[in-house]
Amino acid sequence: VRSHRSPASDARHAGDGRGALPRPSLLLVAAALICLQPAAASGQAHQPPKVEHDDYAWQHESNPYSGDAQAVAEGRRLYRSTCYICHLDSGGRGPDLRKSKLKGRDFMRIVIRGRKGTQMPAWLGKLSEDQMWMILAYVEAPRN
Amino acid sequence: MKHRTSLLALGALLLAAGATPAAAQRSDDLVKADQNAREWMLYGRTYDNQRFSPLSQVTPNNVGSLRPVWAASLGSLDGVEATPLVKDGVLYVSGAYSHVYAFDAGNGERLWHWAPEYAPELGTILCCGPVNRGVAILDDLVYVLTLDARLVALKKDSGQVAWEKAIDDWQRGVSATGAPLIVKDKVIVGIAGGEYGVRGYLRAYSARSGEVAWTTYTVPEPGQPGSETWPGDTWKTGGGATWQSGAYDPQLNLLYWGTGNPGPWNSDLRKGDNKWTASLLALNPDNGAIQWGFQYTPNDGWDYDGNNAPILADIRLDGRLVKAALQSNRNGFFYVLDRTNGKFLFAVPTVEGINWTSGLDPRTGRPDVNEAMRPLADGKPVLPIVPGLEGGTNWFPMSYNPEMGVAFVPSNQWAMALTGYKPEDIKYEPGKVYMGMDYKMHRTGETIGRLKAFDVAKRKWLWEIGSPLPLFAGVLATRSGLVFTGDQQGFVFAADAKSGEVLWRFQTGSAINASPITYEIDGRQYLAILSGLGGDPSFYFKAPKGGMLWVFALANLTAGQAGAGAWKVEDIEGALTPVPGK
Repeated sequence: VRSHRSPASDARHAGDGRGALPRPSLLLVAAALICLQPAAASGQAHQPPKVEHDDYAWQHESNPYSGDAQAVAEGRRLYRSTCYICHLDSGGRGPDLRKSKLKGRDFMRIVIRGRKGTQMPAWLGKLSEDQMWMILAYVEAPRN
Repeated sequence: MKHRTSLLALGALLLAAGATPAAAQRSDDLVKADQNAREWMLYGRTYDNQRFSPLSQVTPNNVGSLRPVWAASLGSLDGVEATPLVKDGVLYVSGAYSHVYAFDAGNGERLWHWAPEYAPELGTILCCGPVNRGVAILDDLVYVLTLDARLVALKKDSGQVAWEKAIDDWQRGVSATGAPLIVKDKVIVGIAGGEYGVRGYLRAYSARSGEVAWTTYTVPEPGQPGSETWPGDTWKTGGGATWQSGAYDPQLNLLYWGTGNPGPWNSDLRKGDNKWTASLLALNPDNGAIQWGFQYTPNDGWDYDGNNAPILADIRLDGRLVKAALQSNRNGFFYVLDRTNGKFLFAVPTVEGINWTSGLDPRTGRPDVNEAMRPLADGKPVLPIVPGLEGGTNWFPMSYNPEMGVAFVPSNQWAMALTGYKPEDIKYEPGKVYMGMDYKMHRTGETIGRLKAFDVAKRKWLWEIGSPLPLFAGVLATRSGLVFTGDQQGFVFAADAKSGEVLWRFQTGSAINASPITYEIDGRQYLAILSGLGGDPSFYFKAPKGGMLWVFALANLTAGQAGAGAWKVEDIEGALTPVPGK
């Protein structure tokens, strides 16, 4: 069974300008609220079938770096050199990851394998599992 | 043995004699592309990139009856940015991920489709979407560059691979998205990777065999001219990518190619002019030797690039006929250079409120930088910087009507914020982003996009058409006095070249980020353009995606003229099979 995006989520991106650029005067407000831009989902591409099983050999059950300040700092550095170019600070071509509903391994599976039908590539081989968890720790950490 | 050897040598000589005139004739065709109104054989139609067609069946008076005559889905929702080519009645076009398609240019019948395969990690080195800007044709081969940095030669008639060459190791961040350029017996290719610390270069291959003829780095190594503009080892990751296409002047035998931003974006980490990044280079196409360079933005700290291929035009300036190169830059200025020697003639602002510089030196064109607007590797935001890094004019090609002396310039009026990372957060790793900076684009008014007409000799802007979203489509001008382009709302439109009045438009269903062409088959003039949101504009707003090729002609078509004939069952791939046993 394929899981397609609902028509409602398409309507949300119907070019009504809600995703348009904020004015400079709004920058600080936008930076403070960080939730003006709609979650980008993944464009209008068809979603791949939901992953039912995965033969990836996990090293960690859950995020060993959650809340670890040093790991979060390294996660930020990694985010900037890998994720930022598409996801920017609050969503670009790719969605705002801080608003992702995917947690833990569900988030990690997308990072490891990529997402078919979207521009999200497979990062396995480019990043270690530990580095990916650090990125997630950064994404989930509160920002100032 | 001696006898046999000389026979072999004679045979080789005869083969060479047989092959050379044919090849020369075909590249001669490209030199004379201006005399071939019916076809569109080069990325910019002619080597001067004017994107000006003499075809005049469609005029300001009848353009209102332009109707779609056929359309084709490219089978992908990813962004499309290419300029199609038309040769011998066939339209060749590239789509997302460098897929290449051949259609009957008159009726839209799909002749073949070439689908390259990529590793699942490919996207880890794509800064700006899986786009491709076009193919090149010489003799019986169609050339395309792939996102994993290959040059592929396809057989023109079948789409089968004749040969392919790895340009570089894509895993270290080298990609290729531009249209290759044929000059004489060579195919010249540029690379992308300026956001990944790649040192830019331009390379020429034998168009026949794919052997490397020459490679010229845009960033000099120690000891070469310009190396004094790079401190320490910064040249090694210096950028200056060559991700678009070029121009060629057969009389001067000069190849013109723009170069991209230096890396990382933090200019204080590489103090000096950083030659030849953000520049226009003129090279000898036979050996790749740099003849001269003109640097638009020395020590670029704003990702302004300089890749847009120039338009070559002979213009009467102050009573003197000048061989000029015209370029509309992301840094906000429209440049007019002497293309024989790279001397600065003049520049005018394309956008309002430029604030990264207080102005250009009227003699040299060198900008006087406003240091308050220069972001550094210090973690401090700088805003609002005008123009934003997308320009001005980004990669989408402008056009030029040589009979009017007017350039039609797509541009954008917006601003950005840049925040440089601190040096300890900027570390070069092969295949990882090496930007060193956060950026955010901002609206500064009701309209961002501006299609503008510029009278070059009079140095005067004539008219403009505004759009609430950025314009990212190329422009076509025709002798009949029309200008064609598209916008992010999905409209392909025609404007009166004299007044800027919009005379016709058609909703294609998705944003237009590609460049229109025109051609003629059996006495009928066609307009072709790709539609499909992607590339940089998809960073800034959400709208339905596309991936369609649309072709238009004047109305009153008969059924035979309007698209291919009905399919026969046996020609349909995967069609329903008859009930077993019946």
